[in-house]
Amino acid sequence: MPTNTYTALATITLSGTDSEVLFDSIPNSYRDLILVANYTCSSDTGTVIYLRFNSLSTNGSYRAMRGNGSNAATGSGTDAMLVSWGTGLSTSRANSIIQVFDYAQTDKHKTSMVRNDDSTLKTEMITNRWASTSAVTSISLVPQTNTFAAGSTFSLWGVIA
Amino acid sequence: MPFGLGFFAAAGAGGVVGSYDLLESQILGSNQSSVTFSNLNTNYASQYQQLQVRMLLRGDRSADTDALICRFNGDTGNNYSVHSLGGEGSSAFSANDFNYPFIEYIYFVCGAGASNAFDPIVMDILDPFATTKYKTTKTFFGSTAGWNQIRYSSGNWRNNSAIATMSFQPRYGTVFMAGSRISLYGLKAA
Repeated sequence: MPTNTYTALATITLSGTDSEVLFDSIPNSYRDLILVANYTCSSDTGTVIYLRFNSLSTNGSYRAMRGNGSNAATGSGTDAMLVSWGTGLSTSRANSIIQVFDYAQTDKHKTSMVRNDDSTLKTEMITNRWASTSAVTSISLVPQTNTFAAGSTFSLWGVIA
Repeated sequence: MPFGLGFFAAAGAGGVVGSYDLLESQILGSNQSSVTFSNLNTNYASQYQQLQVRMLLRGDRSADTDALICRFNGDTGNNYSVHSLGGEGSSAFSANDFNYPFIEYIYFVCGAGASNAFDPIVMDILDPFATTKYKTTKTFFGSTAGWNQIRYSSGNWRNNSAIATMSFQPRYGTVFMAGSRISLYGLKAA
């Protein structure tokens, strides 16, 4: 029997700049989470935006690919998870859709996939893995050397399976 | 700035069917050689215009990766085509195949990959119940557990029939491992 899903859990709209956006106390009653972010940064970024689970910065890895209209680039890392890989501009509005799979299950690592689009600069896709079987209870987005600007919005949905 | 979700913890999912609905789900409690969704056009064509399959897979093949076989209506003929774009950390690449017996170029982690790792795959099937057009898929998937790529693939099934069945199985291995999940969602038209 069809079951309604894609339940809105929370939305954060920044009234000022913020160096971290954190969704905390995430209920374990869904299977996947989807976080949609629409943001600018308070100055040119030139760096990445980290994705962190349970406020931890360890045990992450990623593969990313980017197209900027002139060339395609790909990169990887074994020390972080990413929402955005590479340069961003303060005047450039970016959209990120982050999907986290089986986030509350304790029998597997936590994987996520990101589509990150910035019409001024690039389009990206990223896959991440957090090498932990712990349930994800919080998700945070952290610009490496910048802050999110006022007016940026972040929304979290739960999806059942 | 932290935002606690304690207020929302008690809300739970709504009971009214909306526009994006979970239709069926197979969460494997034991190893399983394939997953098939049947009677799709009978059960869902009147209400849903698009389908999405969300998967989290691990296979038993001894290598670090296996390929996914996806077929519609049991068609094993060379009626599928695929384009794929990917990045593996040092170079971007693309691939294609025409006149193939299944939707291919979709991969997931297996035995030689990281322990406890399952790879995500999201496949959208566009206008699956239309009888005047070929069926198209777009698939987003990736891994850092062994085969280490991020990829995006488009697929095509050259058949005007409404999709009645959708089947998934490992190409080289024997089973999807327990803990794997394949869930089917429907999207309604406006």
